[in-house]
Amino acid sequence: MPAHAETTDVQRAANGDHDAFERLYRGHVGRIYALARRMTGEDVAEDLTQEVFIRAWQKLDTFKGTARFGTWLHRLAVNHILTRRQTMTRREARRVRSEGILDRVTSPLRRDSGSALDLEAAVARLPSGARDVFLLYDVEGYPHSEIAGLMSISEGTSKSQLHRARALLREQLR
Amino acid sequence: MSATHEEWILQLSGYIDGGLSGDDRSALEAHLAECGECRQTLADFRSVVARAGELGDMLPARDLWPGIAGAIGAPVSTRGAKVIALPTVSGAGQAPAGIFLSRPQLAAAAGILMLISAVATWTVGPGLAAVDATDVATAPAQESETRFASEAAEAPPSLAEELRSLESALGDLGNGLDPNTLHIIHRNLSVIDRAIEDSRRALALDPGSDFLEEHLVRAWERKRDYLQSAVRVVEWNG
Amino acid sequence: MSGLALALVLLSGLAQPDTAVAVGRGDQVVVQHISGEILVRGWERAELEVVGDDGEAVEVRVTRAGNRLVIGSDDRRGRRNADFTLYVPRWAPVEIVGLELDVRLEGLDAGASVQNVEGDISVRGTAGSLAVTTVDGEVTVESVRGAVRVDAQADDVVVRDVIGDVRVTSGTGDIDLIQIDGDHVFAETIDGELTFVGPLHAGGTYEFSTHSGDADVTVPPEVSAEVSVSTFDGDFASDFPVTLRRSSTGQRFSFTLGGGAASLSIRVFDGEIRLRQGRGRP
Repeated sequence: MPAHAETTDVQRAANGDHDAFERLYRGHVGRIYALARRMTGEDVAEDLTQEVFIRAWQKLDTFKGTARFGTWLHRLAVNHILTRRQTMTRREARRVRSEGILDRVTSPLRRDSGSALDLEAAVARLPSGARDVFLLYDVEGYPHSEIAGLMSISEGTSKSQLHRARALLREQLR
Repeated sequence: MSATHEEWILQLSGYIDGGLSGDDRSALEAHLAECGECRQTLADFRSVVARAGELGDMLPARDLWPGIAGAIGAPVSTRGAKVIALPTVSGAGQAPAGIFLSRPQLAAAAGILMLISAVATWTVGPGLAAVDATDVATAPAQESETRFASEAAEAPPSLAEELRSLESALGDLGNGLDPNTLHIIHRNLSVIDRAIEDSRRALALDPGSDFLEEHLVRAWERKRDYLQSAVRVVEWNG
Repeated sequence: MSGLALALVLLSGLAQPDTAVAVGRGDQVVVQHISGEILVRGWERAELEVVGDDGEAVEVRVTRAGNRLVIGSDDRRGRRNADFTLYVPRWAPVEIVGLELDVRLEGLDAGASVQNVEGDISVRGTAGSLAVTTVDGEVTVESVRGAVRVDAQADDVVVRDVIGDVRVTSGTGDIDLIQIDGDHVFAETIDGELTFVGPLHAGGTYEFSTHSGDADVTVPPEVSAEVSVSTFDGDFASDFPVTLRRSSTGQRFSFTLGGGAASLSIRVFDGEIRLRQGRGRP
């Protein structure tokens, strides 16, 4: 979607236009769902994605327009996913721990590239802290300073988790 | 240099990201010039970083918009809904005698049906039951802000009217509810709807089963109980 | 005082003289339109008191209307956030209506009801009837003497060490009923696992149902019950040697344990049923 069209849709959605918000959803659901699925697993990714867009709708009036909508939405998603993961019920957490990893490794993903599947599986096997930092730094391009703020960790921890993730992925992908 | 091999390795990530100071960078580069293993590790790390770009967007297996639309009070449209023809069901399985009851063949058939029923339900949105081709083709645009429509007409006659009335009450009251709460209510209703569909399909497989008949009725009753509970919650807090 | 509301402001943590309100026999304590974390604890004194966490000041409104002492706003629009401990006479019944409330109840002898939308609810060491309704949040009930009724929609329910009848429903959560000593026990979930451990009394009814999930029932070795087991797509395993009688359609089986004095029904659509033999009186 062209930037100006998206800006118009954001303004319309902020004024209550559901159709405009649906267009924004269609344009961004792939990135948000991918983030949720990689950070939490298939079991809860759809719910989390829906919750992110519901929150975005609630908070649209706080979007200042100084950043791109996608950037704002993505930060909102990271925050929401990290928060929700902390408050997940025992049951959800248990599923993510015991089955989610396996699901992520074995279930078919909607992609064609075999190497990407290997990488998806390898990322899914990472410990959650290392995985989060890898996804945010290497995949999504967040700086360590921002990751530290989002995850309530120090920049040093963010850097060491990134190193750990890369080292583990290197082992798995060799 | 007193750094161990492991200590050099620890610096490789920072080196790739441009995070080393000039002195540290020079020292590491000097080490790399003479250490083949570290050069290989660096190349592997660079490959991992390059491959991170392969992790692109993914689409969920079902359209999530109907659930979002329901929660934010948007009209839920059936446009674009896929209509899936359900296979004709015939014959009933026989349970083996004995203390372990296992019905793999029937289970397999039921599993396929359950999956199809779930997909059909979700294509039109949480809280909504599957629609058939005629419904999709002729369904007018929905005007109400929050709908909790279901196939109440297919409920046992003793429950149909009550279900319709509760769904209508929840639809009227639900607009004032927090969208996340509304989302949970939608999600739970969709779980119950799926259970109803499962039971219905199973009963089609085995029409004489009093257990399945009771189970289906109980699923409808559960939906009624749930709607009553949801309406109470909304009334307290709306 | 009939028809006249008495409004008090409790300033806990500050040197205010009136931080307690007298409670009479027959009064009911009601908490409503408050969000936050609340601990309600029974004590021997005939008064209620609000204590803020860590000495922080908590300002809540207490209104008397007849025999109802209402803590919080009497108007939905006046809903507010507060975290506090509320001490109430053990003998006063308590009613809580919340939206986003984490609630703990302890040491109440005259029953309690909690109606909440989102938040965890924990009840421990109470007597009298207990009723909990919630949409999203875990419910834990422990050491209760009296009937327990829980209606949870989206989360797990754990009920442990109860003497009294128990009725629990959940939409998408597991239900654990451990050491339940009641004449009538009912548990039903749509998408979750069920566990029951407890005796079955003569004349009692015990009914467990899940649509998608396993049911695991543990009863004493000397149990006496007519048992009905129904499953569409699942296995049944029993520690007890049983002779099955199959219903005409094949998905419901029944058998008798001992003299068949109690009625036990386990219904699962898609999941396993396990009937276990406990060690003596569970």
